[in-house]
Amino acid sequence: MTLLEKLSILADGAKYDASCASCGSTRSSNKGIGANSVAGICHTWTPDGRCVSLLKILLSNDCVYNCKYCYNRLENDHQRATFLPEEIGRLTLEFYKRNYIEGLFLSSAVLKNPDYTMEQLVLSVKKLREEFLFGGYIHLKVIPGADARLVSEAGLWVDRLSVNIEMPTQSSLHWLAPQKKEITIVQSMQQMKAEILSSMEDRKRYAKAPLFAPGGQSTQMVVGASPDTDYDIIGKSNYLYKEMELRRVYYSAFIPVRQDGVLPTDPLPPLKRENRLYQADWLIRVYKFNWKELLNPVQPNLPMDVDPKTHWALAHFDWFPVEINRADFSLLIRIPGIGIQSARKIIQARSIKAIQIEDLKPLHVSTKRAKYFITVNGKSLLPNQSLYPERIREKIADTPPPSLFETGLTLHSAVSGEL
Amino acid sequence: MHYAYSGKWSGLLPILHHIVTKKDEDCHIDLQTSLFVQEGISPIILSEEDAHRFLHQTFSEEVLYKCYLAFLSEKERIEEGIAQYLLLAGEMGTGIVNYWQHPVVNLIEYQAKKVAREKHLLIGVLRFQPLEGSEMLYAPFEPTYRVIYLLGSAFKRRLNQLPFILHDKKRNIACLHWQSKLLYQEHFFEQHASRKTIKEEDPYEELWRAFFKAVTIESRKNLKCEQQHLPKKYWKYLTEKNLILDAHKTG
Repeated sequence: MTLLEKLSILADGAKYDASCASCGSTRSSNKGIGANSVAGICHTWTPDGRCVSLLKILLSNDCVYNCKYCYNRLENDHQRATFLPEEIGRLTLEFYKRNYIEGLFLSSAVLKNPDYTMEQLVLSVKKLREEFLFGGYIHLKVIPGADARLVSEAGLWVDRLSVNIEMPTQSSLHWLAPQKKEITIVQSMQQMKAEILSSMEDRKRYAKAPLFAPGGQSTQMVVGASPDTDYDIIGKSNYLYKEMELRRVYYSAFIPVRQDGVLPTDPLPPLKRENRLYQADWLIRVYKFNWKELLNPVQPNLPMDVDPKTHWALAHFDWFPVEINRADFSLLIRIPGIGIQSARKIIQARSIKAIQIEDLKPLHVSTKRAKYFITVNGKSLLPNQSLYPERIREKIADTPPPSLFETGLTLHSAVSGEL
Repeated sequence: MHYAYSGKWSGLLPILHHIVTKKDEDCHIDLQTSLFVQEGISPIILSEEDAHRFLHQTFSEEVLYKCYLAFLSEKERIEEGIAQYLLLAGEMGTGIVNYWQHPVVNLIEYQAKKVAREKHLLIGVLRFQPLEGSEMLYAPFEPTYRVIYLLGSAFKRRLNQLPFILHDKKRNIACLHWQSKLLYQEHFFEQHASRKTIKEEDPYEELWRAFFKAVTIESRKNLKCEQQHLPKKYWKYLTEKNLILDAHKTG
């Protein structure tokens, strides 16, 4: 098999993993080539609109597991391939030199057993650092159930580690991926959390203490393959952010591998739902919402017609309108349509002079949604009437998008073709 | 007053120095078209070094960097905008960067932001090709703004010791990185780094295209979204250009 064929197979297998971050790490090197950047850099966009920043590949797709949702499961009949560590190193370095990528995202199917797979992964990234002297970004997947010592070694070479939790509830995981045990996933997460923290502590005392995954850890959940609700999913994410100190949780909309009744067809449009989950995720992570403000057991799913912030605002209409010349930052960012950047600009501008309606345009503050929720120096942006929340909801609601999946149901899973 | 300069940032500095010290609110700044002193043009005898020192003593790094970015936008009459901005900064101090409502501040902020955004995009979408028989990497591109002056150090950080040439083919400016030194050269033409010396068959280009093809999720085509992030004007020098074109042809 040529390198070209291998690359095609093993990139195809990794493409459903949603993580694409390539920044926020602090590793520095002055020997070889490659540097980490503060802001994330995209190198291209594929025709599906997703950005490419890392060489995202599997070490192998030759899996001994048989998870129901996964393209690479044992029973699925397709071509198998495995990279040599040397090939991974060469590809990463040469791609980086030509400015195709920021670095490497390396995952794998379970080849023989978890320990053997993890050994090969660690060997590959170690080689890339030590022999190829690569200083760019590396994101490595941890194989659930692999020996803790291998995880400890992996953290020394890479910027980010992640182990995919796959399902928000134990029952779903057990049902869809019987060979994966939640306990081993949680153990790996806890171990990484502890080692990341202790490395940060050591670095405060000794500048040369070894780094352990300075870009932190992340995870991914599959959405729509199990009956779990958004309440289950976001609740789990909240737990992971708070208790495991994860940097990011990614969500991957599921497209069924085959229609044989094993997997449910999600009544909610998967991509739209994925998008809403990301919005809710940002609201708890960046906008400091409490997750229970967005979801509750009575309404366990996010609304599809409006974004979760608008939904929250309409349900708390007595908070509005907000006077943008007075509201503090934490309230400004709760206004639908006003993000972190706009809120910052508003606070800067009003420190010089009160903001008037005509200033909003030069400030590039979008009023499409915000106009229903603000006053500017005492004036409303709406011509004459006050609107009821129901009416505003109708005006803001997305027009239903044409179904993306009417034609060409793909024969493979939308889920990480890996762990 | 009426001023003329070479078109270079370093040449603009003495004029800005003069305008700020004289509080010349009614200034016109043009490009110098003749070697001789033109009629009606005020000659500036201040040196570039003095001007540089004066401006850095008078204004914050943030204010000056915004002016520099805005200057690289090459927007018509941006020099006068920069002068107005500095006069205002002289009155207001560092608070000027918060004064978004003011049209001059807005102009500078907006132009600076456009330049910074193109720089950031190009750090990702520039493509290097190895030159035959050497370690040299060559990257031609046609940016909207004069961002090449911002890209040299960014790529030096990434490629460390490797020598490279960035080539703005629209303006014929090159940035050369050689033996850890960065050198900018104007009037740089094709023959200096001719296409003939680019490796004809670079196997990694083919591998990159295979990768690009493999990671595309066909069933989720969203060409509008792709083009929004990566406008057509940046496709020309992409290794994966034909794959993107094909996808857009078939729709």
